[in-house]
Amino acid sequence: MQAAFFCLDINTRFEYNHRSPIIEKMNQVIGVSMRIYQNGKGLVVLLVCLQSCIPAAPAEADQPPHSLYPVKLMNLETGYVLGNQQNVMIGLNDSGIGSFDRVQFSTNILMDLLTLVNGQVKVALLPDEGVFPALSAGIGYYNLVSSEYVVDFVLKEAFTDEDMSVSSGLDILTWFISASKKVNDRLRLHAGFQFRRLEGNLSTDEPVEMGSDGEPMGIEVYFNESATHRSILFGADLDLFDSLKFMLELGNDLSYGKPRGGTGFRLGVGRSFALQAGILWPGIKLDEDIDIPVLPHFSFFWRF
Amino acid sequence: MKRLILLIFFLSLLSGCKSTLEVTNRSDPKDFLPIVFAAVTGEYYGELVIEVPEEIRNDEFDITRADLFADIFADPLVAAGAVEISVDFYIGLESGNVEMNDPDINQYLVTVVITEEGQHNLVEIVDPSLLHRGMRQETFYLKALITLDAEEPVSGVLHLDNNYFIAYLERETEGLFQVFYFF
Repeated sequence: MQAAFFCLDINTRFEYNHRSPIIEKMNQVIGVSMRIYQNGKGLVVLLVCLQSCIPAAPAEADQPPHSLYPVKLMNLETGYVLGNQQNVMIGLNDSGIGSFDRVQFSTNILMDLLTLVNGQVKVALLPDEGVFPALSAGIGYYNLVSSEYVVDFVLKEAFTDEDMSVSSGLDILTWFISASKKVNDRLRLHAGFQFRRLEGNLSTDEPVEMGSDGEPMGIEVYFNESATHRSILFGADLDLFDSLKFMLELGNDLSYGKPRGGTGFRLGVGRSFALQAGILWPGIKLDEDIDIPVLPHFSFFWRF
Repeated sequence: MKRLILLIFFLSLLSGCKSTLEVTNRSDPKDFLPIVFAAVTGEYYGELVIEVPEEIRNDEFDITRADLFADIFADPLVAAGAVEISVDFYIGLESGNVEMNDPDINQYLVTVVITEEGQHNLVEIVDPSLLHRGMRQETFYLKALITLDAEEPVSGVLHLDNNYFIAYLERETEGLFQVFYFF
């Protein structure tokens, strides 16, 4: 029985050991990783490959490209782009098309359905060859085309006794850079930086009457909301079985100032279809009493 | 605006972080009662009560800046000789022409001098400190101390019209950055 321990921290320390018995090694791994984590010395990506428990790795040619070259884990874009004979992806979340294994055009279907119309372009800068990782960069744009309608709906719910007319808009601009390196046929490591800038605005087209106790006053309101969001993420995807992939993302939300991450599984069906589920953290604190500790993640896609 | 907060909360759901809100009664300005005078010299006092809507004076947002605007002019103004109408403009937290020099109650803003009929003086007071406190109260007061000084008897009406404010409110929240994790 053998185990492999991969440890990657922000100082790019990387260790690989596959000689110890599994139980002993797992204990060591857990102990070491806990110490590193508790000491706060960096981001730890911990993977234990139970090679004796997992069937031998299939030949690379037997694995579908969507497993060998995943373009995205859960939130982390990888260094790969759509290509390698599977240039088209259609799914619940990201859908797109790759061109010449170099450029990828995509959209997030779920966000489109939620009227956050969006488009991304991702360019492969380096292939995953030799000692160099695959490197890619991309930009994206999101626009909440329904903002007027949504705001109008909220207004009707909130201002049942007032006739209010407002203008509103919401835009998000994003860019990212990612790197991916195949360690072996089963394991790939990833790292990426994400930047997102959101601008939202709302203004009353006509004054709103306020101050019902005394003399009402017509008030005009101009509201602006902005957020700049930066994250650094490390990730790994590991083929536990031929069609079952384990995914892990760990990193830091530099704007929120907190660690973030996610974990999930991807189940491949045939060579083209896959569905995946997992969780992302931190969750959302909606209210003092409503705290959702993790965010659910679910997706499926065809890639052909 | 309490309910408008709901709307703003909705947008906060989408982003978080920094929210800025500009509120103004520019389209519904308030006027002092016209001050009628007929004399050679004299002093007059005018006061305008501004009722701050409850929705604005809550502490959901910090007031980062608040400006005052007014238009001061005399119309009509009948004078045989030279005339000088001096208007000292104040903001106060309490009503009345008392303790005008107490900085905790009143703040001097500007002096406007009028010498002829129809001479409009557009006043812009940038971020007077007492206005921040005033906008947290149910009411604050705009006050005018008028001094008339003429060579011959004059008569007229002094107007302090189009008084309005622009307040910039701000709120920094942790927000719901995690919404970005969905895509």
